[in-house]
Amino acid sequence: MAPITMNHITKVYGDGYPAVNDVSLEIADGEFMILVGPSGCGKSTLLRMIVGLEDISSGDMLIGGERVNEKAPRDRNLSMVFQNYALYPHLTVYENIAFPLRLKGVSDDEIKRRVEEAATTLELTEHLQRKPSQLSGGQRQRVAMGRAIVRQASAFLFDEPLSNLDAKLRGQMRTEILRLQRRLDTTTVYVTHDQTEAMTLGDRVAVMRKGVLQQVASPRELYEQPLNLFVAGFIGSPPMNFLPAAIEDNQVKLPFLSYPLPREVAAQIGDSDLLIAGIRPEHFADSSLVDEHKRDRGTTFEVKVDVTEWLGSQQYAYVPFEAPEEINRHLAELQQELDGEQMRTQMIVSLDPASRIRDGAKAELWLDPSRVHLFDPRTGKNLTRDAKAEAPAATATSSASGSASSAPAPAPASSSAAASSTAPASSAAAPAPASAPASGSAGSAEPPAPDGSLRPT
Amino acid sequence: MGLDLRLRDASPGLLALPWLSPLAEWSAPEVPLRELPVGPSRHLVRFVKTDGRLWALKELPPRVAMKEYAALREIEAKSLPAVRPAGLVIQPHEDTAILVTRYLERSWQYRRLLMRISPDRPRHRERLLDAMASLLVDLHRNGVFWGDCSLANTLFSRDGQVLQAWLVDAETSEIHRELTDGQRQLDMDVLVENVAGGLLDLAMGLKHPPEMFDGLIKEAASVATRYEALWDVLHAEPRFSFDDRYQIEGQIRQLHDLGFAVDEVTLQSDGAGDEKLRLKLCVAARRFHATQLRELTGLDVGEGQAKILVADLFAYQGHLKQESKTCIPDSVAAQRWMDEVLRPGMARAHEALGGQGDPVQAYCDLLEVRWLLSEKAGHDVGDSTALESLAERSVPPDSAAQMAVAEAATNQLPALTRELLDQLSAVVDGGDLDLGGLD
Repeated sequence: MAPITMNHITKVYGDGYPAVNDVSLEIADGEFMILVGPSGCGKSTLLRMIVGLEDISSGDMLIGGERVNEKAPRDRNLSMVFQNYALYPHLTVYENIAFPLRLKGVSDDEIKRRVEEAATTLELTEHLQRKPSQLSGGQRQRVAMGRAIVRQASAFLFDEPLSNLDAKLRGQMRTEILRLQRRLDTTTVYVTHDQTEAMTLGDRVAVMRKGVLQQVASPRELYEQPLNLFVAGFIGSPPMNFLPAAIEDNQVKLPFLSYPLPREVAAQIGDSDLLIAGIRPEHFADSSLVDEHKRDRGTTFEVKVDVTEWLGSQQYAYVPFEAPEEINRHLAELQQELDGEQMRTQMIVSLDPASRIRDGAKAELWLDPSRVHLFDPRTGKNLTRDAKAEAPAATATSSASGSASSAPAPAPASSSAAASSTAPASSAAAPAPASAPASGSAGSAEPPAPDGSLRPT
Repeated sequence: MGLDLRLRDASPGLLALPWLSPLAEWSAPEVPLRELPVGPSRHLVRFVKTDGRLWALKELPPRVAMKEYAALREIEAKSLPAVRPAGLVIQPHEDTAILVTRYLERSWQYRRLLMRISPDRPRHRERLLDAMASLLVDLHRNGVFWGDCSLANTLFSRDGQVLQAWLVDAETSEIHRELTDGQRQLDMDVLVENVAGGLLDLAMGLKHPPEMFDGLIKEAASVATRYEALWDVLHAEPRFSFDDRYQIEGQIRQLHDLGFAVDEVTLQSDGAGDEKLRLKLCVAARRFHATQLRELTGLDVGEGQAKILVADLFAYQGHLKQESKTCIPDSVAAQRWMDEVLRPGMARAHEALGGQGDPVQAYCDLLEVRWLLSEKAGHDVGDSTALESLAERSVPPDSAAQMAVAEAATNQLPALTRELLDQLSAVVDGGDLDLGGLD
């Protein structure tokens, strides 16, 4: 097992296009790191540079502290899981796991030891002498994982492993992968474009855009304290609502309500009078269902609901709004980059399923303005990001994995973007946080570049 | 109900298929389904025969299907040996897609050959592995990273005394301008592992003795050596002094012999300070003899077959020259060879094989068997003995002609029993055949 360190990794193709641009990222020993972003963001290229499939244009790639830039894939001791997971029907489960070791000339005794150990981990011991056809779908996937485990690799790498499975198997596999990683505590890098996978699997998630690392943080931090408009729009389903926010007389004027401009924002915006407000759908509520003690923290306002969708456990209301041309242009560009389909000129409000708000009706909604994020439309920077609020110690559980102790120290404030900072943060948002590393996280508060991206310096 | 259907051959039979229903629900006789044995696949694969052609239909998630279709189109544009994409049908209401490919005629899975051949004849497995290595070299030279190369993802067809391998599954393929060494190596490692798995699985399924297994693992590992040997020949850049430039011809001949045409020869000083020049041969497609034969006769056949036929043609030209004591122009020789040698020879050989397989291949088999039997007998045994041997399916067991068993319909073959295998090995042990220089 080993940490993976990337120092200023760049990949420039023949046409001069930087597919990966100055990425610095520290993946701690035993950490589960997700690389996520829309297609073309460079996440797969980065993974392939770790594996040795793509030459590195500049920068250093270290595995277990050793520079591997020039090493052949097979000398990096990594395991690409599910790359070829064909199970052979006439071979026993034991042989299906063992035969790659025979190719490597591993002794019979050693093979037996490793296969039995992997079988214990995967709860396959009593199936070792069976044929794959006698196993359930989930067990078969575990046999394929067994093949990866017995290689005793320093790290597991996954490149969109679930993309060619059907929805049912996808869910099953996600759970299996998570369980396996938690048990083995092996450093894992996992590439996906699917944010459900990103949010449920990773200790930390690295969000990429156009070759540049945007933010590296726990799923919860990404969701609650996005560093910029891009991350805010990419993470979350249904997505964060973006509304025009006019600044007048020290007030933030949204299409349906106004509230006082937060002081820390006022200090950052100079004479700008138009910002973008980001509000998660679930931060709204049907005001008639808000608890008395909570009501005073927020504001109520009236909207006209266009359509509602009742899904049993959830309910969504759609509320159209108008935005100035300038904001629409920014949002359309963002939308295109996110490969999204969501029409941005309607607000999605998540309501309690018990809510009686109906299509076409006027409704009174409630919102706590302190949950609203404000973004600078020119740079995309989140002006309301609370760097102190991230990864609250109270939610961090004791680490069963031990990875916290070997995690890199938080980067000094002068270092490049969020990219190179942050030790693994709490993954309290993930379903299996028991072994999540417990150390705090420290995203850099460095201002973003004017083009809206966070360019490492 | 949405549907996005694109077909590259809008034949009426294909258009008439029930594209709105999930592939699993298609049923005969409404749909002209055919049952073909396929190896284990992670996706549903079915076969349909319409408009006189056989089509393979594979169901998979739309994203992957679109990627595979695009990859196959690019591979086709590069004229590489792969199944040809015939269509892509997306069924949004099912969140699934069906990829249509045209089934390769006269091709078969490795299982078919190995099940019909005695496990004691590694020569045939070597031919399979040579074909795999050659296919991977072809793909890699053209920037195609396979990602999941295996015996099961490949189809084979006979091509003279060798086999031609065809890529049939491009789900994991990526096409780059040029591959890095890392990409080639990973593909190679995957191939070796998958070949080992495929060979072991089949051996276990056929209940072959476990003592064989170590040997099979070694055979699988040899794919890498075969690949590297070929890659090195194609990419060698030897250095010569200018006076030794006659050696270039030898280099070119070696490539021709392997079937590769040479597009360009460059000889440059490489700044090493000495008088030496570096030779670079720009290697073109593996169709050297095929092109030659097509130019002479108009026949369009595989490179392996063309190599044999061109040699036969030139031998006949030599014979005519000697007979008439005059110079015979290539075009005249080619025409006479076609009329007097090839056509009658093809007809007789094909008939001897019961009309199975490809007539050109049958003629190649006839030439090979005649040569082998003559070598053993110490004199020319003539066509009739060779034809008899083909008809009785008693050709030398290590000969390429033996691989005709892969093409025979199942009901034309005797079951491969232990007794039959013993009988086969007895035949071989009786004659000391050295086939080393044949392929």
